[in-house]
Amino acid sequence: MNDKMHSDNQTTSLENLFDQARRAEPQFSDDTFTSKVMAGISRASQHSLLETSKAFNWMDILGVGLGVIACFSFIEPAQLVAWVGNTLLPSKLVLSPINLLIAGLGMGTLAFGGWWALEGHRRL
Amino acid sequence: MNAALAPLALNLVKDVAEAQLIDRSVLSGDHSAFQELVKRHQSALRYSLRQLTKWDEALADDLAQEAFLQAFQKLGSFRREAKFSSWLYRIGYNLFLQHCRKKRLETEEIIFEPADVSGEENSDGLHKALAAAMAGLKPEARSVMHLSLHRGCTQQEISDIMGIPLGSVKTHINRSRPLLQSHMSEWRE
Repeated sequence: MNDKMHSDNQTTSLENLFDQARRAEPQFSDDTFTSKVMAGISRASQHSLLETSKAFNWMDILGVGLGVIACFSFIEPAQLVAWVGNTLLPSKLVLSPINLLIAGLGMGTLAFGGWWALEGHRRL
Repeated sequence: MNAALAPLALNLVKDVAEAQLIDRSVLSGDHSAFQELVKRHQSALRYSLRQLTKWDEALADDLAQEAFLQAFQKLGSFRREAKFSSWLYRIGYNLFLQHCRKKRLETEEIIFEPADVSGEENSDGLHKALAAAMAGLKPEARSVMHLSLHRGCTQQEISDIMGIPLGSVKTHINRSRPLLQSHMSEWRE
């Protein structure tokens, strides 16, 4: 009986201590803490985007590799080279103002596309 | 967001309900909404982690920061049946467990001995004394006792928050209470 009363007193006392601690729980200032968390989140987001971009690059390389393997397994290399030589490469080249203008426009478009892609990547 | 508009946006989210803040963070990736969630919960989480880490302020704050980072990344998977604070605590507790396991791997043993805080009679001393007494318990028991005695959670709530069986919660409470009583006996007298 006495032991039980002693135990109950101890329990009450422990509860009281924790109750006292709960009522006096400190409120920590969030001056730097929150800004550190938000900076960490921004860093993690950028890192994640970079990782995704890298993954896409590797998928591109893998796709090209698979395409090359598939191509060479269906078409004879010598036949492929001959076909490219006959159909894609021009047999004669005429330099005219119109041709130069088209070539200039093409190069300009390519350069602008490259610059735009780089700027977009930098903004991320 | 424009830097000049940031304080205005923060003022706008101050009175917004927690559920709305979570929705805004998840659906539109609104950083100012999540920032408000951090502001509301940082103190309680940091205090809980200090209680678990024997009042190691630097370690507790590092774990709390990591917990908020993971919370932001996993916010889409947060089920609304639980309180956000409970979910956040669970992330922090899991990080604390990972830290304990890592430390055990590095040093072969974790020494958590109650610190001598006699002489500190103010409330700060009480918080540290309780953290030191809790350090005598194993990590899981420490978290159970913290949720039970500090946060006033029921045994079922503790079981849900920590993801352990109800029987384990009861066992931890029954075994740990006498240990805490003996550690805190000097403080009571």
